[in-house]
Amino acid sequence: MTASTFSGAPETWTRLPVQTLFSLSKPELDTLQLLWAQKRFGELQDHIPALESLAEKQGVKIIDSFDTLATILFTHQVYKNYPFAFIERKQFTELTRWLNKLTTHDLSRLDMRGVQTIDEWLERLDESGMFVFHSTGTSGKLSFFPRSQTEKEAWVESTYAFLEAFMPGIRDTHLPVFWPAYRSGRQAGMRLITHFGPALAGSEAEYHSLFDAPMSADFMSLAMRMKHAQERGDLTTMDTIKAIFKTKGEIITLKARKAGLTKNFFDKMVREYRGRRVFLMASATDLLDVALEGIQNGESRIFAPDSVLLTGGGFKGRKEVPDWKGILQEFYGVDRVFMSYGMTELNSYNLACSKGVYHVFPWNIPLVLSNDGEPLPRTGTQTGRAGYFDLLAQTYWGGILTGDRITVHYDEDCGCGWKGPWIEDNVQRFTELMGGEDIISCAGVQSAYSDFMEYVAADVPEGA
Amino acid sequence: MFFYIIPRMSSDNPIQIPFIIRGQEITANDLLYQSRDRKVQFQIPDPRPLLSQIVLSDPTQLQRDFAHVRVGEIIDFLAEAGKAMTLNHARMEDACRFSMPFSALPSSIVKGSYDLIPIVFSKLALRTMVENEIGSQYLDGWVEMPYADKIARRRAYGARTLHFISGNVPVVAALSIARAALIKSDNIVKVAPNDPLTAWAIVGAMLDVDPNHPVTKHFSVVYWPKDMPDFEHELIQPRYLEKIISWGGAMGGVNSTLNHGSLQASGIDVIALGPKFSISILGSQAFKSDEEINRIAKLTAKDAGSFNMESCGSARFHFVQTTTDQAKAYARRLYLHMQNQDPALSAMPKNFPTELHDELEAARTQDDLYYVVGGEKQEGAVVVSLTGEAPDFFPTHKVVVVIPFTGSPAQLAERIHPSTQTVGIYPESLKDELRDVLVARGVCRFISIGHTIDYAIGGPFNSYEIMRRACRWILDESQPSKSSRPWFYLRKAWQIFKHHIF
Repeated sequence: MTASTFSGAPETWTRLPVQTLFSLSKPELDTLQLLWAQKRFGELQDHIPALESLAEKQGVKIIDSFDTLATILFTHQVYKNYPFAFIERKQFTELTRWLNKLTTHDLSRLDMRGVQTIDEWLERLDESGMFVFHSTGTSGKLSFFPRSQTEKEAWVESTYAFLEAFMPGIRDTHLPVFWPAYRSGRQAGMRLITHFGPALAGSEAEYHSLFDAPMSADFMSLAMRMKHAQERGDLTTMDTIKAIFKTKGEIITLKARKAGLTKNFFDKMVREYRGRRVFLMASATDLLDVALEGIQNGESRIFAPDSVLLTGGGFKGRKEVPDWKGILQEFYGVDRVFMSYGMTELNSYNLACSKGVYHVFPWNIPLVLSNDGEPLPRTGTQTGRAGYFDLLAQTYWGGILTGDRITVHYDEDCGCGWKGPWIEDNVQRFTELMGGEDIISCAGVQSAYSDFMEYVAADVPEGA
Repeated sequence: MFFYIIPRMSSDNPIQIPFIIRGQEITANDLLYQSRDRKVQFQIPDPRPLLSQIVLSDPTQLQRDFAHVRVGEIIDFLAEAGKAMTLNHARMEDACRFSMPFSALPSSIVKGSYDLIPIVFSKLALRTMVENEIGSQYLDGWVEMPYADKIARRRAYGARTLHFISGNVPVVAALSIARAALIKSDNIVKVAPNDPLTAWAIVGAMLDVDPNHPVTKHFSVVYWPKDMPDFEHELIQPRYLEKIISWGGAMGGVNSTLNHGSLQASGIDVIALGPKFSISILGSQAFKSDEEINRIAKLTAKDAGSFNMESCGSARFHFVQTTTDQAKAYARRLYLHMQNQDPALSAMPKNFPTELHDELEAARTQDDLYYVVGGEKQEGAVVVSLTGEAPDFFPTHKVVVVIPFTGSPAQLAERIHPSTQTVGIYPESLKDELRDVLVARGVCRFISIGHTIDYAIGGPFNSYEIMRRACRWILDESQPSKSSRPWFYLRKAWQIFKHHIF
């Protein structure tokens, strides 16, 4: 395979077969990626104010090496460093002005008058041609990621390329889809299922979600409001938030209720779809809980062996069960458990191969940085902080610096037959690596809220 | 991560942290403490077989041992031990040197903080502490209350106390130990992994002076790892303890399922010293001229940068009554002064958090919202919020947030976080306007700017008096006999008269 197959723009690569995507030699891939990184930078630099100021500060005028690229990545805070007061005070014009610094689209003339909620704000942005993704806000504050309709096709196609790897011919196949969470929404995983749920299922009827309601961004941001209110002992606001909980209570009130609903959902799935080929995407913990109970009741091999079972994320602080993938295979009856590793900031997920390691599509450039932020050489095996450049980004800056610690193998093949850099299956958040000591200090803030977020965020499968 | 390579400390040969239990030093390498990144580790004895020695099962022992020991004698003893708490004594020098890898503070500040320890143990400081906060007569005997219709006498007794001390600044260990010794308590000190040695060195100095002194006999310095809930449940019981003094929040040092409510219900009094932070409020007078801005910034830099902001008294948010342009000018001066401070109080931050660095980088991309001075390396920074809204990150490691405001400073009260401890106010006259409203919002201490580290000895801390609360206050009431009543009324009249006149 030569690079001529890749002569188009990165968004056209997404339609190439998986084998082709992972066929480039290292020099071919490096040349191609660097060329496109420079091209994107050239196009975007003067049109994204936040990029302009970062590049100016770093003295970057041209991207002549991957090391230079590594100096102009946006940290994840860039997508959530608006003052939270903008949301509390419903200052959506100010919030739009903040977002406008991160996109080439001109949002300055958007009329945000009358916007009362984050959901309404996002809806208005959608109407204007934006396609903003938000985070789950586990930290209590939502990130807003300024994707737009320009990227939508590449996002859809790159996701198909990812799915194609486990389901050859997926673009023309329809399978019942099971998703134990909200039906739709604008959080990254929700954007995906909103589109792919009905698309993969071929109809709304065969797309089965745990809840019928969409996920509300306002609901996800309640944790931060609750935290502020608790810190201030502001009972009025806390009551208001509790009232919102009651009205949204149909969706989730307590973890216990969610557990019951999830069980019914899986029971129905097992009862009515036994022996059929299905598409099931859920968190590893949800899948395992159901499987362990099922096996105890003497059930196994529920679905057709070529069903797709896709999961990601970790065990959320729970102890990892040995051979959990084997247990899932046994209960659900699938030949393989497919794993993904991705993030809001990237258009497509990284794909786990038959060897269980993550391959990075050629439109994503993995970069590894030291703890001090220095780029590590792109040779051999490197462990450090993960940076990525997403070449599919055309209206926002594709360079991001994550809080993940990854190990990338640049030169050797993993043995699955695919070429290109691959990431070991041991991705960890730096905060998880560092936190949790019984260090005591008199300096800080009394934290008032504890597991509030747990049951708000509990409905988004990790890795989604 | 740590730059101070200590010869005796390597991952193959972690240092041993000895326990001191009631005048006896115990060294063993039964257990290994390891931080998650494995860069910090130490070995400790297994506390489980030592439980019966750690606790004081017979509470009357405490009263027997201190029955004839007066506060003055304790001060003499502590001051004698204090002489051995300077860095030219081997035990202290070892503790200081070995503390450096564990502390979040750079070595110059750890050393600076160790230099304060013998000052805490000087006769003058100890006397000031006990007299200002309690009055030694209440610890040495019964004191009659003037207003009473009977003979009512009060006395402060020490209690069996478990201390979870904080490890952010070594002098905290010294203050905790000095207070506890002065009130004749029985003390079990659980050290924090960010300062596992200072308490050992201080109590060790007492042990060197007299291992059989009642004060020494009633001190234990121990550590147990967080995955030892059974030990914790065995130890934390009302039959062994009357009080828990917990830095870092209600149950800051407790790792197991014990909770504050159930402990209080069991009869153990939990004195929770929750984490706090401090701020500055500068009125428009501070911005009259460039010279004035510079002068003020030099003072507030001291409040902000001292102990590299590892202390609860560090002023992290500066509210300034001025324009954004002036606020920027102030931020530049503040940054410069914070970068040029006494190395014993403020130096290059150690282990600057990546998250915070990323916040600064992110702030720089939104130049309508934030103005960032410095922070390029890991030296600290000053961030001005151009919208007047506080950013949502918590400033540490010599990063300060400047928030300009307009209108009356009293309106700021709305924005004061309940964890606010100290407020530096300029000009002084503004204090009158702000004091009561800020107290209502949770503020505990007011200072003239530039003086946050000059805590008044024996003053209240975080709005309460720890020594008083650490005592058990006992009342002894007797009814005067019929025949002695005239004398009783006369005495009362004299007491009340004295109370009013003097």
